[in-house]
Amino acid sequence: MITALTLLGIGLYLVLMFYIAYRAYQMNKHDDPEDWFLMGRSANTAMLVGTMFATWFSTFAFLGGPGFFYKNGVNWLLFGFFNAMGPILVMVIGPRIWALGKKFDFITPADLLSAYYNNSRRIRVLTGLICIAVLFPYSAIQITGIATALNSISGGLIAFNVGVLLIAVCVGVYSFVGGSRAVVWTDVIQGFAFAALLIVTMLLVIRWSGGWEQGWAAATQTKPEHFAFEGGAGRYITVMTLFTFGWILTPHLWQRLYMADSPQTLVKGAAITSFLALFVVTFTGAVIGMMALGMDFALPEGITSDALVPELYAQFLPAMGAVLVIAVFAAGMSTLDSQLISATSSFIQDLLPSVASVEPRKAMQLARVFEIAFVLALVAFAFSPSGRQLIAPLASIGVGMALTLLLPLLGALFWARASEPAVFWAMLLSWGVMIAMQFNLLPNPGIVGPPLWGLLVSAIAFFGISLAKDDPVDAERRQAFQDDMAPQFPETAEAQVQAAQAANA
Amino acid sequence: MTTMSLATPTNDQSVQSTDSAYGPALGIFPRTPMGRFFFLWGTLNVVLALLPVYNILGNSADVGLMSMPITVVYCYGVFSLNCILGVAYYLTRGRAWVAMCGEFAQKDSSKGEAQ
Repeated sequence: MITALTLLGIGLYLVLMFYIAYRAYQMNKHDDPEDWFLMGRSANTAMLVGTMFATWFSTFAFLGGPGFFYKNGVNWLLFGFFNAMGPILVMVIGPRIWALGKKFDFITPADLLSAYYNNSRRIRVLTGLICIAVLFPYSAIQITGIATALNSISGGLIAFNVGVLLIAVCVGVYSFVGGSRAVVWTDVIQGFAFAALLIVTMLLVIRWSGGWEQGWAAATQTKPEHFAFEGGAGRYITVMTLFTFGWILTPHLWQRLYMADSPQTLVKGAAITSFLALFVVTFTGAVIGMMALGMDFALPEGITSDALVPELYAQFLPAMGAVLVIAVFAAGMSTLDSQLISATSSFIQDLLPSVASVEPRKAMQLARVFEIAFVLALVAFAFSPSGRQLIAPLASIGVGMALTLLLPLLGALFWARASEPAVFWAMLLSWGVMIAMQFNLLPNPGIVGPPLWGLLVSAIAFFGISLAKDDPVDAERRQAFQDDMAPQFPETAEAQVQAAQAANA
Repeated sequence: MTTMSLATPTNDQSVQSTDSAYGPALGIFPRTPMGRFFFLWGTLNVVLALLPVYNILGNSADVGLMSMPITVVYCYGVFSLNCILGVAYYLTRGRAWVAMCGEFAQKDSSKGEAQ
């Protein structure tokens, strides 16, 4: 009965999603990359908040987050720090990215970086490759997360592999048909559905634990070691840094900064997202994961902590299974579709032009082919043992690689001394070090994790090469990106006045 | 696709002057008092968030405020400072930027009219 309800619920949900995709298809300008990848830069505040929220808070937040709190207790609390701080960074550097995107019609992160650094082809290709590499593991965890939940809730009836294929086909079809407009529209629905279910789940867990006070008391008595940090500060610093800065640098989030229809939308959306991220996502996840420690509950043998929420429902309220599956679908699909569109844009904008000159119409056709290939690669990865790793570590690998874009971006926005060779080598070396350490090809010296070692290498190369040789980018690029922008922003406008006063004095 | 036309530099940038007097030092450290205030606030939040990790403050499984474990209460108190920082930044910087950045919105509307 429950399985039938679950399948019916999924069916109805997908009908709604495909209807939205069809409506988006009717509105889309099919040969216009700006329209296809950025919905024509027309996202209003509700859309931007919905899509930022839904895009970031994926199965990782719904399954991986509570599961990690359950497994590691407060050792995962710093997850909350970046959720609150990440959107603040959107307010600090997002407006410049938005303004430059609007001014020069940028679509991908590589558009901005390569344009500033002397229209560098090697920076464009490298950035495009990094973007796709960032998106791949992150996309994979959406698929495996949903398939895990389906498998758990259906009591094994919907096999993991069947779940993987189901989600891949669904996301592939509606992204293929609807482009970013369908993605943003569905994100709004999915984001709010997902947030509502997280809150409801938290309230239910509090109830199942015997109430707020009793729930915490039972949890702290059962597992007191889970409620005090156990040392290993380097790991926390790594997590905090990589997610705080990596959040805005992941390609699909970066592109959301281009999407806003106005400056007001961007700053207001970021301020709202900061509260939603901290209190709706991480706090609910912490309560769910930690209170479950004190409940009369244990994960079945062989089930990972990612399946905590589905298992809680399976044991305490099986009738909610259908709703839960739909919500997990919503959480995963809302991130996966954005990542699919983003990876495709990097392929079309950054990689394809480097190997062949293709007319826009043909390029958009190739974009569809790439989408299918990307989905197939995800399915293959999901079927492999690596693809079945815990969600949080895979997410960390993806976001960690995005850190390689941090200093090149700051250079383009703020530091006139940054040079093209410095940026190229900083990106290449930091990416290489990060990956080599992550896959044990290079020993990790310890103290902090691979992403921070990569960032350190990036800083040494970026500042070292830039300072060693005064070889900045072309003057007109510095003027367009920095001098012309300076009067448009309070910080640099005030600093200009100060500098002028100092010069006059 | 990306369209980029660049104007000829109007100031002294045609020579190799890269020591901007207004941009953040090294692209990171703000130059104005207000900018430095927000930078220090954000840095302070990071330091406060790490105190329990180093077992200096707020690291205990004992029950504290609102019947929650002290570590959880402390951490969420500090994380909330980030949100307050966001509101303060929005009120003092974000809104000002919106007002200063009108020309981009105008560009957008002129695009729409052209279409």
